[in-house]
Amino acid sequence: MIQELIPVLVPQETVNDETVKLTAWLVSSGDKVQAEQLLAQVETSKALLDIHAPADGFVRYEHQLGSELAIGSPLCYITPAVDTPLPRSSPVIAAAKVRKTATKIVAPRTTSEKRPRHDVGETGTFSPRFSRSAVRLLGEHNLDPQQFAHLPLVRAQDVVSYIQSADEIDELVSGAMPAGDAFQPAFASSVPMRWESLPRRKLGEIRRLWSAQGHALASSVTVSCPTRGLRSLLRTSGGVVSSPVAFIVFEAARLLKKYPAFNAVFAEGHAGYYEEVNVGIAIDYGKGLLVPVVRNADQKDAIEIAEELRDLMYKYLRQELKAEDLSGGTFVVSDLSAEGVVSFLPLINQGQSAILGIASELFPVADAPGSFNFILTFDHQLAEGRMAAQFVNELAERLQTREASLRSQTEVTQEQENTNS
Amino acid sequence: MTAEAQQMIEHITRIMRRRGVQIDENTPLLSSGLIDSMGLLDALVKLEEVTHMRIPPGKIQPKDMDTVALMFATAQRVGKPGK
Repeated sequence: MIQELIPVLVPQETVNDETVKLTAWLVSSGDKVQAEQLLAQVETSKALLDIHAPADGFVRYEHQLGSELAIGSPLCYITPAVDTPLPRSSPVIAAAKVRKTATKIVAPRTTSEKRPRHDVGETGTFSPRFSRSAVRLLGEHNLDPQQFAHLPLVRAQDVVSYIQSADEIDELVSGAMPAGDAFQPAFASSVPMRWESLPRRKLGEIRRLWSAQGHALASSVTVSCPTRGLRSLLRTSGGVVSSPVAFIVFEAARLLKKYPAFNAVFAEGHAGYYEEVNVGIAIDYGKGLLVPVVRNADQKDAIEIAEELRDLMYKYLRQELKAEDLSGGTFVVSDLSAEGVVSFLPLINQGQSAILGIASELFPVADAPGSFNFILTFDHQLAEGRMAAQFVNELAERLQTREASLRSQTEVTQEQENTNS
Repeated sequence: MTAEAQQMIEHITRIMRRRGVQIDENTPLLSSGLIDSMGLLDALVKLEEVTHMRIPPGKIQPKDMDTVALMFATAQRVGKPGK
């Protein structure tokens, strides 16, 4: 029997889902259950999932059938006693963590082939080959179901892929704004106003960020990194690495192994340390804010990271990013260095504890060394300002060393070219 | 100048960091700081559209795309008929 309660978290089947629908409880709250026992079924945009007990104990829950539950939030708890007090807060854990906490979370089994007929097609006009979410999307976008006649089972993702637009993907899957005091705004008195609806894509982005802010005590530090012009040096080098971001991801990934508090998540009074360093890169280049992920960045060299970043950005521009490109991030880098930004406040992402912002290089005096700012926003529940400052200062030192090495190599190459000519 | 090159110049002018700069087929773009690495990829996607070719980014170096003239030469060299 377990000693402490174990939250059974809502799993993420697809990166596009922010919530799932609770479709069945197969046990009653307070029942004694055994490990691997089937507890509930939830419906994602793609399939029905079985949720199993991760351990022996008593199952406890409050959610009602039909509830929409956030990915990573507790579906129920396995408790050592039938009257163990339940926590009040509901943390949201990154998808990668949910999937890999094998002792606590049993990876759900897809059971779309067992889907009950009544779950398919609210209108009753389509065959059972369409999921309910797919039917809803077909209606919303006025699409002809015959377009999908070649597929044995049409899921929401199939419909989304058909539309093939990253903007529209976000619009389709983003949910309603969460309720709460944070959305009870005050207005300037006696000032005429006009109201416009925000795009659903933007609402989804707001929701994801609010979810993270609600569970983190965000603080930030800014450190200035001296430079003689790293950006221009890389631009003119003609190599694969034409932007400092690859080097920053390379160095930050290694530092995250030394400072695991920034590659973690806080939940239920515990620190969850991710065992992979998966660095997301925030991109917003006119096709929506997306964060593709360089997986295991701590195990790749700078060239590999630069090539992977290039390929992810290319896929972003062609709107070809897949769910697997966007999931499992444990840390994020947000680069506004090309935008003339001196400083900004990056927002921690869902299921994470830190995000690094990169500001623009500034050269106050012509032909003299300048600097650019690193900003680290972090969860103060897992780290303190001193640790954050150490992390960013070490990063800045590594970048200076890297720049000096590159400059030295470039000068040697130029001297050789001059000698040869 | 071909119509395709003119299309590329107009597109790159729209995404350039500095406003009011006139460019031609031989103006250095990345090395001069007129566009950044993301702008270079944006230009690559536009080049694919203009030439109706698929140009794998893994087969090119930034220096292969530093001018509009180089972009078309690169497309001829490594591009494949695409959608």
